[in-house]
Amino acid sequence: MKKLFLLLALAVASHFPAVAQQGAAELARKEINQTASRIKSLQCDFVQTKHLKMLSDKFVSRGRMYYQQGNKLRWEYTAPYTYTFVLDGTKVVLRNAQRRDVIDVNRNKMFREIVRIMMNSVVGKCLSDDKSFKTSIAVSSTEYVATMLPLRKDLSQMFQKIVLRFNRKQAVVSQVELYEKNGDKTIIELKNVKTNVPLPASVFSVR
Amino acid sequence: MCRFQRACLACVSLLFLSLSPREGSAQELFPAEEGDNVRLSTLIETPRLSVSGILILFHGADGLVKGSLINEFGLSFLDFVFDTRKERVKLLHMAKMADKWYIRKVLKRDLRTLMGLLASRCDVYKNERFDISYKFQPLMDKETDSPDGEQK
Repeated sequence: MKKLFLLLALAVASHFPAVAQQGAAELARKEINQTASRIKSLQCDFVQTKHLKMLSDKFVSRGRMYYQQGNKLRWEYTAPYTYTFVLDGTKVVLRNAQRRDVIDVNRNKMFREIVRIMMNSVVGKCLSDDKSFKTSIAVSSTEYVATMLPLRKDLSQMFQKIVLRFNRKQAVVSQVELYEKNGDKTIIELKNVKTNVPLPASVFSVR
Repeated sequence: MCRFQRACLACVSLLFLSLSPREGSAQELFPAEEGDNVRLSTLIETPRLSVSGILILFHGADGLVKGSLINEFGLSFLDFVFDTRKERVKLLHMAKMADKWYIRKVLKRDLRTLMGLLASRCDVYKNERFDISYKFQPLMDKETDSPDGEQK
């Protein structure tokens, strides 16, 4: 009887770490969602490192990002090339040294999806996007790590997985990792993140 | 030298200048030697769409030049290998939306032409049959090869 009791106790105890981890992940998800809903604006510098598997090389670019609640996003590369992506509600402007293109997001389904994922990734809202991703969250002492496996065909054709790393103190995104089907990966580190600082309207101007 | 000879010489010089590849910058457009790499800002335009990004070329062993075309967000559009000895292109990977047999066929042929032109320092090419324009410019800033900004 004692042996049976001990066996039962061991079986229950061995389940605890998994349960504890699941509990921590749910708490993390809740905290991230709460923080995301409180973010009215966000600005930061970013460093984007593209790891090219075939060339065994990496390519680094830098820029600045601005986000404002209400579908406004400015993603600007400053080195080693200039390229600007500005979303002002329903219009996207893409500008480089040679061209300027304006896209109506409402008329372009692909762009609408890209924009939605970018916006949600930046603030961490995509963790709730159960239709697009299967998400698991790991918790460490310094960060939350959300691994998102694409469920939709258009996304799964491009990405194996997307990983978001959240600074645990602020519960904001500190790093985005995009793992592509061809073995390449792109790591975007967000630095000098400032939230809820007023942004001038000119930042999201599409003219 | 008589006036007629001088006029002929001037005409020949002008003709030579107009046919020569553009030397817009002293930077190379093609990795000529093994171990060289080149990074080019790229624009491909057709009547229906345009693709911009960065073309990275690396000259590896056995005369093989490997190329990757990525967009500004870092997403891969195309990976290929150009055999400089056989002058052949092999497409390794293409973005799903562009991975159609007729696009591969045209792109393969155009890439073979482009590799030769880039080696000759020509930075523009137009496929007249399908109205596809290609433009390249060397990326000037090579100081950001490290996430910390250190020079490579």
